[in-house]
Amino acid sequence: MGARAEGRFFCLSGDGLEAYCRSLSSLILAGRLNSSYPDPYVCSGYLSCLAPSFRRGAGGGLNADRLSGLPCLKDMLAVKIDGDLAPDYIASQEERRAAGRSLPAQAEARLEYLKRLGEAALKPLNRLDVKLRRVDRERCSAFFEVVYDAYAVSPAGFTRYTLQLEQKDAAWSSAFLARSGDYSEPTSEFRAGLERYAQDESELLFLIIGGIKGVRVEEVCRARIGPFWSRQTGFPQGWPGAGAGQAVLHFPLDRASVELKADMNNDPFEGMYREFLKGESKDLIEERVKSLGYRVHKDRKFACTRSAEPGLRKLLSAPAARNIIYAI
Amino acid sequence: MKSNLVAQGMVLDLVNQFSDTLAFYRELIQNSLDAGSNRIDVSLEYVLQPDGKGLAIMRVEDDGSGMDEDIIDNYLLVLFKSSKENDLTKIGKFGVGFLSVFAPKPSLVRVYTSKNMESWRVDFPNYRSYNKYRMPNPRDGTLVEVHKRVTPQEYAVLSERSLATVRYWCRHADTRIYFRDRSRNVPEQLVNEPFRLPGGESLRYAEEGTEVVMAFSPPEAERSGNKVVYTGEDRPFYGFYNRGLTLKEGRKVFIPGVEFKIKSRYLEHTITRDNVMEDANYYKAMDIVKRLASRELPKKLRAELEAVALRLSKAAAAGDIPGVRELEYEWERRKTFLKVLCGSLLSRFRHDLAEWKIIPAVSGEPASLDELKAAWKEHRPLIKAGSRVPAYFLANKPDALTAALGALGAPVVLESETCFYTEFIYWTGEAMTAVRASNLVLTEEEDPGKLGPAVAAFLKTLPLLGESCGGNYSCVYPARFVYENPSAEPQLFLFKKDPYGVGHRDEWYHRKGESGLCPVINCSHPFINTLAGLHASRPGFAAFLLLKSMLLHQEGSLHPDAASTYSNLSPKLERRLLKAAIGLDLAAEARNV
Repeated sequence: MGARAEGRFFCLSGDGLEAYCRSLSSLILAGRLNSSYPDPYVCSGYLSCLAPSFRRGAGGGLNADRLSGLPCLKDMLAVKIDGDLAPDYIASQEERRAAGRSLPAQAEARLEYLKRLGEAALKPLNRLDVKLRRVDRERCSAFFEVVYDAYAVSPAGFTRYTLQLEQKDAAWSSAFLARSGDYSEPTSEFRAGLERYAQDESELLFLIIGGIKGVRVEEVCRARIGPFWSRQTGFPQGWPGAGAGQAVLHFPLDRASVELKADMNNDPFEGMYREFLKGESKDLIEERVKSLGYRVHKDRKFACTRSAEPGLRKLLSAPAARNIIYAI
Repeated sequence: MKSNLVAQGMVLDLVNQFSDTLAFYRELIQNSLDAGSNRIDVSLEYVLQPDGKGLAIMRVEDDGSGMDEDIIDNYLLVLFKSSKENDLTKIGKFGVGFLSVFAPKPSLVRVYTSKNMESWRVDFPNYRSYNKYRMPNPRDGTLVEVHKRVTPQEYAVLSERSLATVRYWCRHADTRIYFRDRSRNVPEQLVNEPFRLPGGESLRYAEEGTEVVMAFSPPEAERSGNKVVYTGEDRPFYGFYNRGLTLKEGRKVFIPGVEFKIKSRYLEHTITRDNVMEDANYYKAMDIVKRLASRELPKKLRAELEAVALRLSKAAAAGDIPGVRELEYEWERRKTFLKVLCGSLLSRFRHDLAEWKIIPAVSGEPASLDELKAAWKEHRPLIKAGSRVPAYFLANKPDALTAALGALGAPVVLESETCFYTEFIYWTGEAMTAVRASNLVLTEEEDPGKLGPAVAAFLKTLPLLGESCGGNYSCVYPARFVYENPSAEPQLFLFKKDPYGVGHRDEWYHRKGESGLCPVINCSHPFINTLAGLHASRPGFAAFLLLKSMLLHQEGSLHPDAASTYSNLSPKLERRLLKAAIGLDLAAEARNV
């Protein structure tokens, strides 16, 4: 067991970590990610702050998940926590310096690192944002847009769920989404529910929230950044010879929406949820799908290094998918 | 046929309503924002055609959600139909924005877009027709190309205008916008600027769908050389934005003395794009601004004015004149809004303006109105004994005199040629007058050992003669007189309640009728030296001259600076004084013989 647990992560440091952070950060920005995805500038910012060139002696190595190829949650959170605690630490060290006491080299390096981190002003990785879209007085309902960001452990790291919901007036008091005039506020029940159910694909979340009385779901979209394939994480079976500098970052997206006319899967690495169901459960879900009136689209685009592009194209040619690839 | 012509005429009108032919940048960027783009690229390129003429290609490319055939057919190509109507998270509402691409009279407009695994190219040779093509490969977002035939010279102008247009309308956009001119080697540049006011903001506020920055408006000033005169005119900046896109900017008083920018989901353009729609939502946005101005801004005003007053006081105490000049602007900048607060009874009551330590003082510590009033009560005799109107001290720099006042706990307000710091007192309905330091005098006890022998001897004689004039003159107090302005004409003597310390130059006059005033002699006055010289031969006469002068002022109750209408004392007093003086002279003569 111990060996398996160890095998799940790999440790990076020094030049290897620098190359890893730089490659991952630039691939995130190359992916032309719209607002369905986690903010690419925020995600890229975290990676830049983990690089040794940013830390300059103020940090050690980094553990990455072998399955997703992305940094462990602990390491990502450590950067954010460092940033949050930075003002106090900087103030205390400046005080010390003002009192004429010199700082040890390690403390000096940490101070400079925290100052840079303060300037970077990293936004939280986990975030829940609810916006009122409109109020329909005739239907006695309000329409909301919910954005939920999370850093999932595995297989994908950065994840964003975007929900378009309609809530009936009578339901406002049922403590799902509160509204006061034009202001909306997710209740603690809503927050807890989302955290519990937003673990899997959009269709499941659609089914669960669609079952809440007074709530009509228009769309649930899940978009992710990851997995990341690189020399350190390894490439999938069938990859035509991993060379130096090869890296591939996935941007999968799945969307369950009442606006869609038919199911469509353009994701060569994931099937549709309903394909895995059988017998009674399949019938049950098909009936729910019909009553909720949604369809599902799945798609996946990629950003890769130029040296990895031929290999990726070859890999994708098998399922005959039409995926967008950005090579840098 | 007729209805078709009418429709075409209407479309042409809509195209022509865009007074700025490059307004399409704003409209396309707005669509890109609504499509959820994280990055928008605006670029230009100049392409030479086979016929030798040039073609400018203006591109706006985003990574938004794109369009499928349904959206193209039912929204992009249909006027007044918008999928974003009443959606507070979207900017576009009317369904006419795309028409703006025809305003620069392009030779072709081409749209590439993709959504739901469909990919399309739509060509518009003009605003009346289009051709739609299905494309083989999917893409991210939408790319709009506007082709226009121009000369190289026209292209250069077009490129610069394009950047200026994008910058004006989109510099505060929530999404990163990059501009690049591929043909003129203009490197890619980020158009966005932070959502801030030019001189920095005092208040930043955010709530769902709305962000506001507010500051106190810079004062209008006239400059002549180094001199600055604040005109008192208020022309605050305002800016309305939706998701950072400029709707309208200008100068107008919404709240006196306050400039602001508001980025709000509630704000939208009129269909003509030259103004903000003043509907119910607009008033919701303005209510936020007004609420902030009435609840939050006064607290900021106090904090900032107190900070400025402290810095001003410290600069004044350190004799840092340029520093004072610079900070005067900061104080003046907050004055109009201060006037608004002072003018409102409710505000005055709510904010306790009298407690605000916002009055710069030369001592280094600012004062509040309450402190000025308390100082007047305590030091009233120093200011104007007889006056019922409260007063405060005023000086333009620290000196021995202001230090003496400071030691007494009396604040000395900083005097400025350009900024009247105590003007707000009148706005609160209080009345206070200023006592300039130039009207004060500090009398410091003169060390008898440091006096010349002639002056010392003269001062000894004075009380001897003074005894003949009454108790007040039986003891005179030698002193050094210190004035704010060293070149001020010194007084020969003073009558003061306390012989040493700070007093009004006219204290004697203000205390007329009071008994027990002490005669204080200015030992360094040149006339005292003259009298001391005379005293060697005619001690009685020398003392007589000074005492008569003092008596004429005191007994005649004359203002010390007024031209005397009296030339003589009462005959009885004059006779008594003269008799004593002659006696002293005779005694001296006898001693000399």
